[in-house]
Amino acid sequence: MPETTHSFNLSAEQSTQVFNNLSEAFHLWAPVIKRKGSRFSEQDITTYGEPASFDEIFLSQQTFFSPKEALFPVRETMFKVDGNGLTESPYAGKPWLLFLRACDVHALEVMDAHYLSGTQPDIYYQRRRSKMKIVLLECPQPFEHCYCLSMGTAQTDHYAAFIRPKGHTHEWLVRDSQMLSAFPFEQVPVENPKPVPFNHRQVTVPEKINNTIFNHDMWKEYSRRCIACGRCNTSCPTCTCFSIWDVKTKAGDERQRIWSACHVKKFSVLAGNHDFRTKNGERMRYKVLHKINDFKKRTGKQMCIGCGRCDLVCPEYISMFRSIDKMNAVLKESTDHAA
Amino acid sequence: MPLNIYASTPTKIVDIIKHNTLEWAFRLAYPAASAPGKFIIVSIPGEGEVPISVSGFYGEIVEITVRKAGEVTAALFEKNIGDTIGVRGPYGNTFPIADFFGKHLIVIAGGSAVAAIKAIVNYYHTENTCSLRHLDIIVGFRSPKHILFKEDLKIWEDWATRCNIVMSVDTNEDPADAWKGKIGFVTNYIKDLSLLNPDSRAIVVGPPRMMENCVKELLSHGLQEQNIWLSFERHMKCGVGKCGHCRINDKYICNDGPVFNYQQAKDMID
Repeated sequence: MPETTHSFNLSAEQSTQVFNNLSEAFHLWAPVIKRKGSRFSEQDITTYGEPASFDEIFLSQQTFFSPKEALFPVRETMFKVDGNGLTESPYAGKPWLLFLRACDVHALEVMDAHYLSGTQPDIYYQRRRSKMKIVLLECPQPFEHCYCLSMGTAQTDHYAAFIRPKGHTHEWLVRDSQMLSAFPFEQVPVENPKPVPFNHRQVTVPEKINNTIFNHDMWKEYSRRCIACGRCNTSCPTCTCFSIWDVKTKAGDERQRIWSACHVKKFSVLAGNHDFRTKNGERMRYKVLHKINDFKKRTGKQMCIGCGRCDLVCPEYISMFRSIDKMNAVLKESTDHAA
Repeated sequence: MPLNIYASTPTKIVDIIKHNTLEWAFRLAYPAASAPGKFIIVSIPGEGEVPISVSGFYGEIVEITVRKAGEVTAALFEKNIGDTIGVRGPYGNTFPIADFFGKHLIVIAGGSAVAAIKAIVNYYHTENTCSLRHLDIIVGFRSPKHILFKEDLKIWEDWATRCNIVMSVDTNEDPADAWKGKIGFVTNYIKDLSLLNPDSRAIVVGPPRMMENCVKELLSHGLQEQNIWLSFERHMKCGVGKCGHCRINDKYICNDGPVFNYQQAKDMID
């Protein structure tokens, strides 16, 4: 632990005071419950949002959607159309403070590797990212769908502060000196963040993906099952695709970037209507192999963080996790044949 | 202030060449270095952006050849000489021009894709006429009225004995059209090239099915995989490797392509 780490064990009132102090400097983004916000009638949903008070931060459930909107909004104005030209949209406001689990911190690093890589960083991502800090959340118990231990995302050292519920109190670690003034309390020793002790699901990601996998019949099953709704894409913390559209708004014409999803129709259609991956199974293959193979080949980092949100949200009960396992079976079969 | 990779430069249209009602060439006062194979992104504020391959560059002028196929290109067709549009780029890689020196090169293109090979053919024609052993060009169009670059094709044909052009149309629907040329797919004419040999080099650009069939035919005549080059066209929004639309496996067509050697391209599965 760095020497500058400060640790506290705070009562609900004290944590509320911390929350209020932090709210002055930061825009907070944390797991909250949205009443009647579920896809089912009259049901609540746990998702990311702006908590109005400390007790609105809801730590005991996984969020349905990922926190990525904080960096990559569903719809973002890039430019205002200004006669014949374009004016870059301004960005101001407080820096964001994100309450993230270790897997979602890894997702953020995946987004960094994509948007900030090379000689051409994306300024719309960069201007949000550069002002952002992370409060790490601990997972004392695994959630139903996660497999973070298999994906190596159960731990991270990338955080400014840490919070752990403990009975009626909360333990905090603070590493960022700029945040320290929000904690006018006496220090007590606090244990370092621990990874989740176990997952309900384990999978081995196949190392050698070859054309046997790309061309295999295993993907045909998904053509029958997938309805191309794109929910797996929108819930995924590492899906970063977007389209750019010029749209008319009340404030005038704008060039906006809007989320785009590789499972949804027309993702790849060319002018003149030539399309690629018209079958939904092909789209499943395209997405899954990006998540566990193609992105890693490019950046060295595994794209799937094993949060299992895509499995949770799929209306057809299609499982990304199972598809990884199926690939292992296919590869084993092909090696057995070769032997 | 950091560079905004999505910002375009206001650029004047200096000339418009109307090949037919649907396919026009626009010459733009855009003094950025280009090379055969690259593309630019044209921006019409209020309408949107579209990637277009560079069909020629002449000093400070970039030429694109555009097929009117969507809303943005339709808006571009409303523009006149002297009007301003937005341009960013050029993006993408280029054909390996020097690798073809002293070789027999076959360039095969279909339809609008002829725009993508015009720059490399012009390179050998105008800048380095003696650098190839021989150049065979096979171009195919949907029908006689879809033929592009008639003037360029004529000039290329006149290019001494070092250039041979085979032009064909898929069909001739219009009986009134006095088309005396070849009818059939470009693939059919590969076997007739007299200089075709296992050491020939080939560039193939066009619709996916056409590229696939041409490569099959070239390989059957003994061409080496590493001597065949393709240029890919994919749906693209950003042109700078961020939007994700043009990705195939671990490659982004905009950043890593659009030109790929067949040895690499054969493992790229959409």
